Amino acid sequence: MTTNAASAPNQSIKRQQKRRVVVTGIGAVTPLGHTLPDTWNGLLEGKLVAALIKRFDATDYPSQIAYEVADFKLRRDLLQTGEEMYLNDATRFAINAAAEAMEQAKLTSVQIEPSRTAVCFGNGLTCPGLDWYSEVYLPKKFDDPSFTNHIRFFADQISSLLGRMIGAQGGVTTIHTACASSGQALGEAYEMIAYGDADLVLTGGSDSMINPFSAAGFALLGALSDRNEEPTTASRPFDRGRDGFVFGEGACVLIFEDYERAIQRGANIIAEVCGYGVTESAYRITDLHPEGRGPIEAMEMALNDAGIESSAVGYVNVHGTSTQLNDRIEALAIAKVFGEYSPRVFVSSTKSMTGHMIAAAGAIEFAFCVMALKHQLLPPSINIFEADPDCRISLTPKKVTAHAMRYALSNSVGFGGSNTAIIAGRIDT
Amino acid sequence: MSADELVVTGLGAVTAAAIGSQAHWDRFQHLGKSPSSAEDYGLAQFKATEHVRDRRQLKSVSHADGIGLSAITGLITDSAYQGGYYRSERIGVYVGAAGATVADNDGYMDALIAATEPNGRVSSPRFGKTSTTSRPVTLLVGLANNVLCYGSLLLDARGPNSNYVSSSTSAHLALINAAKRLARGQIDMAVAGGYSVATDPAYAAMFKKLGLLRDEVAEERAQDNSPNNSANNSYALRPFQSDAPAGTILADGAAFVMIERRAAAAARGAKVLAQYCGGAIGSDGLGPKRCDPYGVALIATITRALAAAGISSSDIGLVLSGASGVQAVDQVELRALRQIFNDGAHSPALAVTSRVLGNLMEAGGIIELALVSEIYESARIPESISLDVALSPFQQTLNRAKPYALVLRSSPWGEYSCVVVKREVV
Repeated sequence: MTTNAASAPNQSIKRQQKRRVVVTGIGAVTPLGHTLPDTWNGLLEGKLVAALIKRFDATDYPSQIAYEVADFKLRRDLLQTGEEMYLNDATRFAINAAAEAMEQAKLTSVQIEPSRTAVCFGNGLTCPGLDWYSEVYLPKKFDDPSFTNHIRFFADQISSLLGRMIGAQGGVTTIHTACASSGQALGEAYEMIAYGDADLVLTGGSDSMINPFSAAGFALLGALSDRNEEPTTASRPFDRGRDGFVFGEGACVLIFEDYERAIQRGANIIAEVCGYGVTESAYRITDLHPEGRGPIEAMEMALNDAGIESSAVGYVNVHGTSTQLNDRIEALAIAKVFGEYSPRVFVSSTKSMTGHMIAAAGAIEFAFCVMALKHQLLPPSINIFEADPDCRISLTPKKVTAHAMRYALSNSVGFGGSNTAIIAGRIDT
Repeated sequence: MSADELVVTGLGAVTAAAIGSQAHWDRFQHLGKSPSSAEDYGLAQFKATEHVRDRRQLKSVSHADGIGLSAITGLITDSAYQGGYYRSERIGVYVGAAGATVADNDGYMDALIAATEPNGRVSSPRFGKTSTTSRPVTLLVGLANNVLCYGSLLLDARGPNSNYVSSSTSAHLALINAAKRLARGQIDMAVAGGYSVATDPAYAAMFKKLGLLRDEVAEERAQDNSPNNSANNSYALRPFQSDAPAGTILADGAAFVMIERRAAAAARGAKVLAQYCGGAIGSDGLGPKRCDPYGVALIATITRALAAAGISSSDIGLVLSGASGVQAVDQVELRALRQIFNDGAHSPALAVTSRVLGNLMEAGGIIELALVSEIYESARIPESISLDVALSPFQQTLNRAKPYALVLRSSPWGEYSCVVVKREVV
C-alpha cells in the first residue's frame, strides 16, 4: 500500500513549549562503589572488579563471572515497619541510591509539592532462587510461610518504596524494556517535567540478574562471556576478541527537576537534560537491525529534541555490551548519525568496568555522562587489547583525559527492540 | 470537532467473557444480573494459535503474551487498519504488562528436576549443567516486553514506545502516555493497552497471602446467607456491595485500542468508538499495599484528568469504575467520587466492568473506552455491569446530555489513573 498523506508529520500540531529540565541529585550503588563519588572515582581509575560469582555456586555454568556489589549494607533506617518483605537485592541497592540522590538534591518535605512529584523508574525482572523452587514451587506448597517473600519479586515494589521515600503523589510509574528500561525511565521522567506534568521526578533504574536462571538463560542465548579464567578482562566492548557480556548489578537514582524551580529553591544543578529519543527496532527480539536503524533513529530524535547538531556532542556513552553484534552495529549507527564528525566524537562503553547492569544500565551510564560534563573528563576505555577494525569509532583514551565538551549522549538498547538516546548538557556555573 | 482531536478507532479484547469488541458489548447486554462465576475469569485453555497473525511468534512467548498478541491482532481487524497507512516511525506501541512470573521459568522444569538431589533441594552446580539442555529461548519466554516487541513487528511500528509494569494502572499509563505523544505531534497513531497473567499459580497465591484475594470461605458464607438472591448466589465480583465477600478475583485477559487523530481516522474510513479527551495519574506515596483512606491523591488525579479534558465534573454522565472488590480500595474510590460529585443533581451513572470481567489488572480500564458510546446509544447501562450503591451520589439512569465518561483505575498500592472520553454520536 502506498504511504498516505496522513503519514507525513502533522504540521498543524503546534510544537509544545518545553520547560528546561535539570539534574539536581544522583545516587549510585554499583560494583565500583556504594556511592556516586566512589563509583566515579573507580571509573576514572579504570578499576576492574569482575570475579568469579560469589552470590551462588556458579561452578559448571558456562559463564561463572560477574561484577558483583560486594559488602553492601542497606540503610535500614530508611525503612518503615513492614517494608522488609518487599526487598530484593535490586530494591536494596535502589533505596541507598535514592537516599544519596535525595540528600545531594537537598530535598526536604517542605520543598516538595507532593502532587507535582512523581517516580518513573526502570526495573529489572528479578526472580526467586533455586531454594524457593525446591521448597515451594516444585512441590506446589504455596501455603508455606516462606512464600510471603515472593512479593519482593513483583516488578513495581521498588517504585512504590521510592514513591514513599520521596512522598510522590504525582504518580508512580515502573518501566521494563529489558536493558533499555532505565534509559526509557529517564526519558519519560524528563518529558513529564518538560511538558508540565510534574516539577520533580525521582528516576533511574536498578537490577540484579546474578542468579542461576539468568545465568543459565543468557548462556543458552550465547550472550555471556565465558572467559572464566580471566574475569577482569572478559568485558571488553569494541575489542576484536570480545565474546559476550558480563553481568553487573546495582542501582542509579537521579533527581530531575524543573529548571526554574531548582533555581528558585537554590538547588545544586549538576547538568541539564536536553533531549530524548526512543524507538523500536521492530526487527528481532534479541538482535539489532543490521543497519542499526533503531539506535540511529533514537539518536537523531534526541538530537532533534535537544535542538543541537551532532557535532555539538563531545562524548557518547554507548550501550556497548561486548557482544560481537551489538558493538559492531552500534558503531555503525554512530558513524551514520555523526557522519563526518564521527572521528571527532569520543565514544566509550563503561560496561568494561561496571559489567552489564541490565535495567540499571541506562541510568548509571547517563550519570557517567553528567559527571563527564561536570568534570570535563572522558571516562577511559578499558580492556581494549586490539580495537575491532569493524567498529569505526573514536574510543576514549585508555587513561582518563580532560576534554572540553558541552553535550554528552547516552545510548541504551534492549532485548525486545526498544532503543533510547538521552542527551545531557553542561550547566554554566 | 477538531481535526486534531484524538479518537479511539478500534478495540482488540480477549477475556474469558468474550473475544472482540462487539462480542463484549453483546455479552454485557445479555448476561443479566448474575453475570459470571470466579471460574469464568480465567483463560487457561485459551489457544493463541487460533487468533494471532504470525504463529511463529508464539514459539518464544508465554501464555499471557499469546493472549496479548491475540488482542493486538484482533485490534488490527477491528480498526480496519491497513499496514502502510502511517509511516513506521510515526507509530507507537504502548503496553501495560505484567512483570515476570515464576511460571516463566517452567522451561527449566526438566533441568530443575534433573538437578534435584535426594534431599529434595536443587543443586546449583548441577542446574548449571542440566540447564544447558533447555530450549535456547527459555529466557526470552519470560521477558515482560514480548508483547511490545511482537506487537511492533505486527504493525511495523518503529516509533516511540513503552512498556509499563505498574500493576492495575499499567494499561492506562500506556494509553495516557501514547495520547500525550500524539497530542505533541511526535507520533500519528498508537496502539495502547495491556495484558494480565492471573493464571500464574504463584501470582494468585501471592495475592491470597497478602489478603487481597477473595476468600472461598467468605464466598460460601455469602451464598448460604442469601439463598434466594440470584446476585449473591454468583461468585462474581460485586464491588461496593456491603454483603459481598471482600477481596478481588484475578482475571486473565488483554485489551488494546487504536488511537489516532480524527482527520486521519476519517480519511482512512475508520469507525470512531470514542473521543479521547485527557488523562492523569496519581499516587498516595505511602509505599506498597498502603493507600490513603481519604483519597486525597485520587481526588487530585480525577481533578487533573478533568482539567486535561477541559471539562468539569458536571459534564460527566457516566463513571466506569475500576473497583475490583478489594474493599479498602473500593471505599477510597467511592469516597473520592462522592467528593468529586458532591452535588447529587449533577451526579453521573455508574458502571463496573469487573463484575463480568474479573480484575483484569494490567489490562484493566481499556475495554471501557469502547463501551461508552454503546451505553449512551442504548441509553441504559447493562444490568451485568450496573450497580446500585447505597448512599452514593450515583444516578440510576444515564443522562445522555452529558456526553463525557470517566474511566478509573485504582490499586491497593495507592496508585491511580483516570481517563476522560467523550461518547461518539453515530
